[in-house]
Amino acid sequence: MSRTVRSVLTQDIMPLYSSRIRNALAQWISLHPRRAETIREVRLRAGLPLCIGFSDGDELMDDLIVSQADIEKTLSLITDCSYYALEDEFKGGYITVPGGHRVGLSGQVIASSDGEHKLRHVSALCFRIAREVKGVAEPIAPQLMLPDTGIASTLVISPPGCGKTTFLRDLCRLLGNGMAAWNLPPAQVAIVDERSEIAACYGGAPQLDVGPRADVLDRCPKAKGINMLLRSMNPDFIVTDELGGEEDARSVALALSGGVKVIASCHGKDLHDIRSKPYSEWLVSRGYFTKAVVLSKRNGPGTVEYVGDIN
Amino acid sequence: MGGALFWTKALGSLFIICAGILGGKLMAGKLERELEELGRFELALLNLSTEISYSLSPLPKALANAGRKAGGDTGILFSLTGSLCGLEQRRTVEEAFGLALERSQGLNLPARLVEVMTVLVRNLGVWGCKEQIGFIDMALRETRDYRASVQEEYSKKARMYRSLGLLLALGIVIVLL
Repeated sequence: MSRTVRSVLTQDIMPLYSSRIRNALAQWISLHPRRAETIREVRLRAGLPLCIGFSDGDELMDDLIVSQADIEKTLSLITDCSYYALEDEFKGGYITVPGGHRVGLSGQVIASSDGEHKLRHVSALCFRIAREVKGVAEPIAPQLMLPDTGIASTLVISPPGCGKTTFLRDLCRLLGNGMAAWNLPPAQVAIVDERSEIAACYGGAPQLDVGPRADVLDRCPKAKGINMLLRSMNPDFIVTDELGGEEDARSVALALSGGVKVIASCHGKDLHDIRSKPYSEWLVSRGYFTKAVVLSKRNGPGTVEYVGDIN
Repeated sequence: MGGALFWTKALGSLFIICAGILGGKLMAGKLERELEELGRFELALLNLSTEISYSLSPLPKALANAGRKAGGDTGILFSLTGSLCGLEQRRTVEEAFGLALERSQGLNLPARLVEVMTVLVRNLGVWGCKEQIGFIDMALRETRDYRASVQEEYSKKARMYRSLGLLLALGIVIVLL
């Protein structure tokens, strides 16, 4: 069962704030319980009011100015008092905290003598609440099946913010559990989660439900990850998010030629849009992917526009 | 009767001399313990620096390991601070150190050690690796300088305290006799 935003905030996120912010936010939530359920993010900017982001806009808490000390306290907690141990992760601009929530950081970037850019003097934090919507892939999965071979290699297509990752995560869960109603046995699923969005790993362990048979390579570049998983984990399915360049396409092709099915997502409005991009066109025209799911937010994120054969 | 008086005086004198020697030793022992604890503190800082620079251990674990290796009251303080800070405990290192100090009232920690540590914890866990090591090195240098001064004081005063104890006791014995 999915958790309420209120419980996520009070149990996972607010304990990471200074008592001043925690108390003010708790009071706001108790006064606006319905509105609280639509919170998507909380932004802390030094010297500015706390900003609460909703699905339909944001609100500044003018009477609660975030101080640099508030930021430092929170930064200290989210890094487990070990900023030095996460320096490489900061290069990506975010870290994941328990519960799978992503914290974006910004501040002063300093170029060190060895040419690397390091984030120092963090002055803003953006907590994005991880949400899992279970069951979104259930009505669609049967339409992705081929006779005798189960779920086919599928490309999930949508513009940003339309629910591609949520769909992929739920499909991983279904594949790992199997679908008895459709005679689909459980499968070994390997996930290359380059941006920690599918499984939202913390300390290498998935924080969101990706099923009981999922192996996750967290923060690993897709092409490298696919090759590693092919060699090491003997998966039935490889799942990855946001296919991009030539290297990704070649790795997917390699996995598919090796008999492993691939479920991947990529940015695009529709099938026509996908065919206008060189690497996705290359994968589609050569028949590497058999099925496609197109999502939009016409009726809210996750609106299914098309499910079926890709060609 | 005269024999009994002699023995009473002799035993009394012996007792006073022993007490004097013990008093002198206790005074010198205080400096010895301070030196020992400062040595442990240096060791703990070195271990902490190693944990951070080589294995990038999270600070709670690094503090606990450094404390375990250093031992003594310093070790207890480090381990306690490590167990009280971090994401799980919802405390910064500074907050954890304050609480650890409160909980370790019975520990025999040199005041200077606490001062150095109080400054260090403000900068622990909130900087990159290079800076972190820099802050630890600074604390280490400060501790070494202080330990050198205590060592000097010890070599001067330890013998003096012992001799003073004995001389004082002899003086009392002479006056009493």
